[in-house]
Amino acid sequence: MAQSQGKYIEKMKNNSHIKVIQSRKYKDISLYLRFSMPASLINKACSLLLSKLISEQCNAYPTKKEMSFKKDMLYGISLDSRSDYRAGVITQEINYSFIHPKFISIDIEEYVSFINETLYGCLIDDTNLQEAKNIIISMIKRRDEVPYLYANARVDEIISKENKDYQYKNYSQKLIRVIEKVSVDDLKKYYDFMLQKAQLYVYVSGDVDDYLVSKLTNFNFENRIVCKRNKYEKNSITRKDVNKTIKGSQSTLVMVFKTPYDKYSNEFYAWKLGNAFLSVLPCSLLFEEVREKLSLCYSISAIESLDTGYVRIVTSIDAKNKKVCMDEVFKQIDRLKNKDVDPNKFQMAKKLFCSSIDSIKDNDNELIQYYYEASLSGKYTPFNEYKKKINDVTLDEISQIFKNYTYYFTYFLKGKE
Amino acid sequence: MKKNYNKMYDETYYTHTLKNGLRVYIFHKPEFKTTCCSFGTPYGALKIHEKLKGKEYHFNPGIAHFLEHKLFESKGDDIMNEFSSMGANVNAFTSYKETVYYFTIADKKISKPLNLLLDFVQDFKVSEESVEKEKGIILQEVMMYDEMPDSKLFNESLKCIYHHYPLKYDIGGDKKSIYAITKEELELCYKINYHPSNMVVCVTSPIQPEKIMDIIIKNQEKKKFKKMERPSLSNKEEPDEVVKKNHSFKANVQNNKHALIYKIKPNFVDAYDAIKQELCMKFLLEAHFSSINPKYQEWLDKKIINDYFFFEVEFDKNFAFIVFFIENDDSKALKKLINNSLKKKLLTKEVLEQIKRRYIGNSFEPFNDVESFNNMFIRDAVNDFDTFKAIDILKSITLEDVENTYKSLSFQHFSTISLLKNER
Repeated sequence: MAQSQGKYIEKMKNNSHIKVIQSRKYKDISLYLRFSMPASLINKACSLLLSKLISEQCNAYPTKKEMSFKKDMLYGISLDSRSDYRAGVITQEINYSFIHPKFISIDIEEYVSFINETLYGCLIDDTNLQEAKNIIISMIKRRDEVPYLYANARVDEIISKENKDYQYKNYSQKLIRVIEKVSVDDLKKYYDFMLQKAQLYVYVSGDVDDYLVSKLTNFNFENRIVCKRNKYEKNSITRKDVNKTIKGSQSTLVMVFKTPYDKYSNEFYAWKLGNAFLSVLPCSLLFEEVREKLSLCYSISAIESLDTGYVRIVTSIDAKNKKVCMDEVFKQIDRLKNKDVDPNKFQMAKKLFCSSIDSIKDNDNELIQYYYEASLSGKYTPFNEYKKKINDVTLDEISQIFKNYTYYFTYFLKGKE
Repeated sequence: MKKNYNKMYDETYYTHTLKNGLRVYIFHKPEFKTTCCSFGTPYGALKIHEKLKGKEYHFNPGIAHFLEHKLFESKGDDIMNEFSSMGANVNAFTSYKETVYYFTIADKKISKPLNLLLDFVQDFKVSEESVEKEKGIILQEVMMYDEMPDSKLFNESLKCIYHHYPLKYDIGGDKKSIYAITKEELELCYKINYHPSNMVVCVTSPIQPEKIMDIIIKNQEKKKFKKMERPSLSNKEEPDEVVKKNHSFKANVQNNKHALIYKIKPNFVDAYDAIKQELCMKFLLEAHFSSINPKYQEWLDKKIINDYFFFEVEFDKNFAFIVFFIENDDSKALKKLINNSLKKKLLTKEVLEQIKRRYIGNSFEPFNDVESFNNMFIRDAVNDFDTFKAIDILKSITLEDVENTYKSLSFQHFSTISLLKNER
């Protein structure tokens, strides 16, 4: 499909995908690899550890010093790896990004060699693995230093008791224990499966021609298998509000709601637009009422889980304002149920939402994420259709969406000097 | 309108200075769909003591940030809603040296939002009631950053070295200063710091530059501004010595953290000299305190450092400091590590070339994103700094330059700050 902003080419080979975003707008060329791995805690642990190891050492450059030297000589080629969980699979993301050779005197072959050396030659031994474990565990623990991250991590832990999927999203104590137990053999097995068998999605972006694309996407696509999606148990558990105290001057409030929606729902577009009224966008009723009118907080917004339908509203406030803040959130949800939204604001929300869809096209990372999610869920909506569906949402539909919101529980992390 | 071309980045841009002194930069990027328009002033959190026509002005810390919040109500209307109804996302930020207001839009119709940006920033009207109401919001924002241990450790480090220089205050101020700010103080501050002759408009867009320039010229021709000089700084002289050599505080952290901050006397000729010496110092420290140094792995293995170990170098015409951060139970380990390592000569010609290549490569990154690029460029432009010149400086640095910088700086004034574990 050709578009004014660039050229998009898609090929499929044996359950694997290659997508090229051909555009002169980027100064660099990026290669994004997405390996889909079955959901399990050991795979989650291995994915996190491999993310660390693959970017720091390999057989060709066995020390950090040698790896730094090679990356620097290639004008700071970036090699990042991340572990993600969505749509029932663990994704091992491996991303390479480097300056287009037209700007510097580096042959494309040098980049290709580096990619092959690092992708296929990750150095996994006892010493490196122990170092990676120490780093990953301390990174997980460090997240708890920021109150709103701490509160959200605890909320994840609570939800994961009802919805097992959350254990792969959350960095829990249980995950730390699994990381500690990962052996060299476990990690090598995971890595071999990823390289040889895992379903692979390849994305290339930048000012690339067919020659460059063929150089960068010369991977083995044979014998790869479709990743089995996790079918998680969903128990219905009644929750009570949680109140905790920490030393600090500010408190974190997390209100959790259950909704029957997810990215596969027919009501997906109404749900997304409805949540915009609780988001960081200027059309947000929470921004207008809780922040601007009542001056209770600096930021308040909802985060929705597209896979599971949970919606949480998070803010940092003075402890004494907890009740008034919660009352106001319920009041605004009631307004949405009762269609008490200014028609201009409703149109504004649609415009802003459509504008944010358009801007995805200028960001290759977001664009690739969009395509990847579509591939995983098997539900691809072209941008124009997405915008049309948003524009077709009625206030009646929004009202129905919020009538199906069920208050689940509140996690309150009270700051006490 | 002057057409400019930068060969290294393959970037074409247009510049023009309007009759009222407003400087305009337009980057034409036809491949993109998004337009970003930014309007900035070189007025940031550091300018609380100013002088204009012999008169001194002393503002409360945090006033630049407060002004940024209140400007969004300056026409009495809800500016955010107006932008939103056009499909534009408006935002702003205040840093130590500048305040920038901007919007992004993925639509070719930019005339209305661009006029709105120029109009709301150039017309400040606010009520006492709304100033009072904003104080609670700003206090929550400042507290939010204060609850982040790394941000708090950095701020406490600056407080330990500066007696008078406004880097000792948070960008947003503190509870006392926020509640002391009045409507009159905001109006005075706005009057002397938001004159078009001090300000810059920067646009990155797929739209024809002539069309954009025409919108800006027509908008500015409708407005009248009295001539005004640029205010100068009127800070008290800062002693060479630090305020406190040692300081510790507690927070909810997993491990004890320490910062070692060196207060450097800013003897730089101009902003370009400051950036050159800053780069020289960064190159030297990269050679010693990153994985380039073979000892780095040994430090990790012996648990002297972990992945949290890092440093920052900030050199400006008016201030300079170098700060190291470490997670370790031994507060003295960091100083020992730095002293021992710097005794050796690790930066060779080859290592310098290696680090320079990385920095050159990294300098391309902001060009991939319209919003990041536009705001990076305007932050330099409002401070009369040419972004493209920085890369020429970087390329020109020699081993001798690095050695000269290191020899010229004094490292005798420093503070050690410890952030110790609280029980949760």
